[in-house]
Amino acid sequence: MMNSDCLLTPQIRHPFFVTRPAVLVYTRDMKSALLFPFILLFGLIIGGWAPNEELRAVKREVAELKKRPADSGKESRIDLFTRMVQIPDRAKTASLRPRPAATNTPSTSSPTGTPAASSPPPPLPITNSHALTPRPPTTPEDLRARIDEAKELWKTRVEIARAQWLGRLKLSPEETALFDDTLNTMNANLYASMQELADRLASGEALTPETGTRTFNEISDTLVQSYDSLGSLVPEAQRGEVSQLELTDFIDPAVAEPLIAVQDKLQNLPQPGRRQTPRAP
Amino acid sequence: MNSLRQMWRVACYEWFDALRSRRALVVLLLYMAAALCNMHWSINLLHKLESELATALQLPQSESTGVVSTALWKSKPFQRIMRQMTQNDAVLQDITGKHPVELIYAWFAFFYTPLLVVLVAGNRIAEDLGSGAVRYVIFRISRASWTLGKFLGQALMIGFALILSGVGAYAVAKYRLAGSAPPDLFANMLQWSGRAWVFSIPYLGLAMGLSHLTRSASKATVMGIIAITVCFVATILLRHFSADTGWRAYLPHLGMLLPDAHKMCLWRSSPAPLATGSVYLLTLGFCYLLTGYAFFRKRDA
Repeated sequence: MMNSDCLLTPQIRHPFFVTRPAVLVYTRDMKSALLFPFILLFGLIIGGWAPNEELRAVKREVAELKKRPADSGKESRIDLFTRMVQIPDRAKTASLRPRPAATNTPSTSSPTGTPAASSPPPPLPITNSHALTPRPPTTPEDLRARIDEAKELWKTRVEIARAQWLGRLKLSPEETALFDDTLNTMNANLYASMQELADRLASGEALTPETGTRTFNEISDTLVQSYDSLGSLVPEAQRGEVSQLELTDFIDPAVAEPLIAVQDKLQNLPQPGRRQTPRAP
Repeated sequence: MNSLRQMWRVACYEWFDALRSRRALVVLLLYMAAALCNMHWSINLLHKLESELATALQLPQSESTGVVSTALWKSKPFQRIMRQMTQNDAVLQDITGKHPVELIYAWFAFFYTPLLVVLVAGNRIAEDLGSGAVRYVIFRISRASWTLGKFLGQALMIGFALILSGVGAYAVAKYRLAGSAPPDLFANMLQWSGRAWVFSIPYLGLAMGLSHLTRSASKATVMGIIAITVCFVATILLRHFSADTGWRAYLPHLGMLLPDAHKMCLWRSSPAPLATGSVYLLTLGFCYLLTGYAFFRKRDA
């Protein structure tokens, strides 16, 4: 197989040199070439280190972002109530400073700015009694942070919406006062519904499908009554205008404050729509 | 240049020796049998699965195998199942819509090629060391050329066997699918054979590198089998114990020294991961081989 032209060994130049050290058979170039794969592998690993680390960090971040909707699925019990009163699912800016603790003990200060700038709102009970007790920093998913953020936005939005609707319905000053009263009553009733739900949960009662349905019914009933009251303020020709009014724009996010104290209980509940008890045979 | 010529001659002799001793025929038959049987059974299984699925979904039975599976790719739940199986969104995106027969062939080729490589080529160097045949060769050429030539010869032989097994598998698929095979199936199956060949290179390097350490052919085969088992187990353990912080964060980098860490690159369609994975695997193959050679370099042949 081997021709003389492939002989590289020193025997060509030294015919009597039969046995020789193995290291003599390859050249210096060959020796260096044998190191090439190791150098290449080293370079590939070191070169890929930084991009791989960055990629891993990005993948972690993406996984967390993907996980959030799944987590929010667990919270959808509370979200069902908060979405109805126009509170976002996550606060865009959560305060990292400790906050005063929220409890179920009522206080007399009013949390609500109401659409009725002229008429003062009925005082709603609030849940801050241990105002000096620090709470852990709020997360974007924390109900307190979400309500605070919704309130800021709501104040501006409700003023604009109120001004637009007063102009559109052409209400007199007396009718305007009644308009504001109706909305204040609506917020007070919604707050009462939420407070009742929170009290039930705080007392250890389970949130059954029936309880949830009844609470929704109360909320819907309050909204329907508000539409009726507003409809009675305007002539029959303008009744159609009132039905265009988006009442949820006027719901004060503070009505959900009673739920802050029981949000942990609501979050631990199974998703609605999923069967909690086995189907009867 | 002379070193390359020497390597090439050793590689050619490896082929000549394999043909003379009918070893090449055995290798070819082994690969062909694996590919043909796998393809035949896979299509049988797929056909039964599709029939059962059609019955469960109260659909008319499909005469051609693969039609239901191809349609299944469009189903979101099926895509979710595949995502869980591949654990890699990019790979899933690349293989989505491909004919199931092609993917089954690819999966089997990636699975059995390392095993066959170790069984077929793992003892080639140890045999020559044991019989003393190596002494006649390294008297004339360098040991490095001999090692690299043997490696090249075996790599080409495995590549040829894989290509032929791909052709055989396509023939079976064409016959069994009875006209429902997509037109690009042949090219795709050859492509998967090529990718499986690249994936086999590090295992070939590992088996032949270990073969330098012993004069017994059977010992070399056993060492090769143990080595690939260790590789598979180590990959799983590294993946399991990897974490984002602490010393465990370095484990994925250690995993880069194992062939399995780069396998998924060969399942990709885009050229960047394909090229990177191939270079990694080829480099690993040479590194394994030359590590074994380092022990043999100054040893008495």
